[in-house]
Amino acid sequence: MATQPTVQPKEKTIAIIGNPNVGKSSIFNQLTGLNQKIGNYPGVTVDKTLGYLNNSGKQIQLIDLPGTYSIFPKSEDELIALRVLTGMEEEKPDAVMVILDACNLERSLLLGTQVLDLGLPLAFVLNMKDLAEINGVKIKTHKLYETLGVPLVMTDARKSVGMEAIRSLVFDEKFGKGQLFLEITEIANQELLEKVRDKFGLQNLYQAFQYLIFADSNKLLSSMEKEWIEEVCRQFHFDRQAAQIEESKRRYAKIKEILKDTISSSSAKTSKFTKNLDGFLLHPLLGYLVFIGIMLLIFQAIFAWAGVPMDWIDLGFAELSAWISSYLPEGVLTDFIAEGLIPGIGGIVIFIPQIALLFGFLAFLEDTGYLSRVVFLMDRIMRPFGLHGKSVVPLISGLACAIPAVMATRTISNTKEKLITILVTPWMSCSARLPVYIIIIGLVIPAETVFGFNMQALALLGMYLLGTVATLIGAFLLNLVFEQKERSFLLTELPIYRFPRWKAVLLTMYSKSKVFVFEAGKVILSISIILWVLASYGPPTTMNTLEAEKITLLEAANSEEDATEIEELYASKKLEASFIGILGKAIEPAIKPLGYDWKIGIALITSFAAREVFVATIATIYSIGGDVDNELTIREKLAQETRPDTGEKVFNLATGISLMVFYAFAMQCMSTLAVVKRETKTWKWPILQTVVMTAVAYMAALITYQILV
Amino acid sequence: MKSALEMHPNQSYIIHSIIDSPLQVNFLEIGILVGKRIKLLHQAPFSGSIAFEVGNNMVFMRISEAGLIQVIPEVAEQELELQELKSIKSNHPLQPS
Repeated sequence: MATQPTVQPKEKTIAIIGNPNVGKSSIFNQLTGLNQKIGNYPGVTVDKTLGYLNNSGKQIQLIDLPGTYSIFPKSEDELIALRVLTGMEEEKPDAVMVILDACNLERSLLLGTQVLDLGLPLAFVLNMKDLAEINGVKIKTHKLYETLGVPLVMTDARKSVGMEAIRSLVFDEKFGKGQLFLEITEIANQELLEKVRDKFGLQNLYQAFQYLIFADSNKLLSSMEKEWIEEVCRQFHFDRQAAQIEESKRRYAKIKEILKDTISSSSAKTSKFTKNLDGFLLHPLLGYLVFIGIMLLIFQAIFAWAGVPMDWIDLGFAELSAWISSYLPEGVLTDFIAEGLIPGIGGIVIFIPQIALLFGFLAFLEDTGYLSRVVFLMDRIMRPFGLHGKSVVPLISGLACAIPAVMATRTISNTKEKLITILVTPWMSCSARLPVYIIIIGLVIPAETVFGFNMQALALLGMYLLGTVATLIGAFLLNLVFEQKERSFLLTELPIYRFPRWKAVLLTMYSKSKVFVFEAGKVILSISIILWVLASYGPPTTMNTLEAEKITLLEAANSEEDATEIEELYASKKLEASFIGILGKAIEPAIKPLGYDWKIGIALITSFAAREVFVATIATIYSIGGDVDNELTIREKLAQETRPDTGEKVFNLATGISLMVFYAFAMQCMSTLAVVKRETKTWKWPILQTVVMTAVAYMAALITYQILV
Repeated sequence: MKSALEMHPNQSYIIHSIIDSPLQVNFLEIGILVGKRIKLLHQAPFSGSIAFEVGNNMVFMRISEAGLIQVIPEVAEQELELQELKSIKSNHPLQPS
C-alpha cells in the first residue's frame, strides 16, 4: 500500500495465483513496487492486494491472490481464489498468471491445470528455475510450453530476472486459453454437471464441478439453491470428497506423464544449506534456545534502537510546541495548536520506530522461512493450551499489533483453536503498550546494569513475559470450557531458507507503519482534540470564578516568581475544574486502590479507544496550562508530578508497576474489537473479551499496588 | 510395510499407501503421493512435530498425521521389483527351464 494509484482508466485486470512460498508476492512486488493498495473482499477478512502497472497511458490492475495448493475451497483463502477466478467477486479477471515453482512442478501444476480448466486466458510463470537446476532438476521449457499450450515465462523473482518478459506478456496481451487438461466427465456425471452449469449460467463443466464441491461454503448461494444442489447430488449419488480425491489423483497422473518428458530430476535433492541449518535450528534443544535467543534479540533491539528515534520525536514535538506558542499570537487557536494538536500528532508519530521495527523483524523471519520452523518447534508446546502450532504466528504478530494478528488466525482451519487464538491474542504485548511501558519504566525503574543486563530492558522483558504467560493461561482455561468439534491437524510445508529480500522487508515496514499512522492516527488525533477541548473548558461559573481569583492575586503579587507560582497553581486548579477533571474525579474512588489519581483516570478512560492514546493523553493533560516555553519532554513532566496532598511523586514504583499491569491485561483497543467481531461474526466474543480482560486487569493492578505500596 | 512413525532417520523409504481419512485430499495437495521417496528428517521433543523429505520437498506434521502414511524401505522396494521381474522371467514361456 502506498501511493495512490495514478488516475488512469483501468483497462484490464489480471489475477496472480500460486502455491504458498512460490515467490508470488515477490513477483507482484517487483512488478508494482509501491503502486499497491490493500482492500477487502466483502464478508471475509482476507486482504485484497491490488497493484497497478502503467505503460504509455495503459493501466493494468493486478490482484495478488492468497497462496493456495488448489482451488478446492477448504479455507477462506482458497474460497477467495475461487471466487475471484469464477467472477463471483465484482468482476472476473481478464486473465490469470499462474506462478509455478520450478523446484516443485508436480504440485504447482495441480493448481495450474485446475485454473487452466476453468477456461480463463492464462499464462504460466516458471519461477526459481535456476534454483531448480542447482538442485538437479532440469526442465525442458519449450517442450513444457508445447504440452501445456499456453504462454510460459521464466523468472527468478528474487534476482528480478524475467520481469520485462512478464511486462511484455501483460501489455501485449499474450495470454492464451489452453486445451482442457482433464475431462471432468470421467469423474462426475455429465448430466449432473450440465444441470448445474445451466442452472447457474456457468461457462463450462469444470466450473460446474467446482460449484458442486464448493456449494456448502458458498455464501452467495441462497438456502434454496443450496438445497437444490444437495438434492441433485443425492439424485446422482455424487460423493463430494471422493470426487475431489479422484480429481486430484487423475490430475497428478496426467501431470506425471507430462513431467516424464519435460523434466529430468534423477538427482533431485533439497537444499544442502537448508538441511544443515535445520540440523541446528530444529534441534530438540538448540532449536528452542535459538528461538528464545531470537526473541530476546528482537526485544533488546527494539528497546535500544527504537528508543533513540523516539527520544528525537519526543523532543522535536516538545520544541515545536514551544516554538509555535512563542511565535504565534496568543489566543485560543495558538493554545489549541501548541497544547492539543502538536502533542496529539506527536503521540502518533512516536510509535513509528517501534511498529516499523517489529513488523520489520516479523517480515524478516517470514521471508527467510524461519517462521515455519517456529510452527514446527512450538506445535507440541501449544497443544496442551488448546492452541495450534500455527497459533504461534498470530501470537508473535500480536507482539506488533493484535489487529493483523487476529486476521492471521485464518490460516488455522480448526474452529476451536482459531477461536481460542483470537480470544487470547490481545493479551500478547502489542506495540501500542510499548510506549506506555517505556515511559513508565523510564520513570520508576533505575537505569542500572545487573549481570550485564540493563534493568529497564529486563523490566520490559518481564512485561512481555507477563502478557505471554497470561495468553497461555487464558488459552488453557478456554480449552477446558470449549468443546472440540472437528479433528485438529497439522500438515505444512517446510520452505527452504532464503536470504531475506531487504526491499520486501522495508516495504512491509513502510506499509504497516503507514496503515497505523492513517488508521489508528485518525482515532488518536480526534481523541486528542476532544481531550484538549474537555481539558481547556469547564462549567463557566467555576471557571470564571477561578479566573477572577487568579487576576486578583496576580495584581497583588510582589515579584515575578510569585506571579509564576500563581499561574501554575491556577492552571492546575482549572484543569481540576474542567470537564475532563470532573470525569477523572468521578472515577477516582474506583481507581484510588490501584494507586492512580484523577489525571491517570482520564488517561485510562481515553485509552479504552486505543492504548496508544495514553501517551497522547498524558502529553495533553500535562501540557495544558503548563509552561510550554520550558521544553520539557513528556517523561520529564511526569517525573516532576507530585501528589498535592502528600507531596510524594505520583509515578512511584507501586503506581508505575500497577499501571503497567493494568495496561497488560485490559482490553483497550476498539479496532481489535471490530476485527474480532468481523472474524467471529458475532458481538458476543468481543463483548466477553472486553468484560473479562478488563476485570482481570483491575484485579491484577489492585493486587500489584497493594503488595508493592 | 510400516507406518512413517517407525522410519529410521535419513534412510529412504517409498510411500506405499495412505490410510483413508478426511485428510486424504490434504496429503494429495501438498504432494504426499503414493510412490514418492520419503525420509525422516527431524522430530520435535515429546512426540512433537515430525519433518519429512518427500520427493524434493520438505513437509512437517503431527504424529497423528504421520501415522496415516504407510511406507516400505526403498531397498526393499527395489528387491521387490527385482523379485517380480525374476518371477515374470521364470514364468515366461520362452524362458529355458
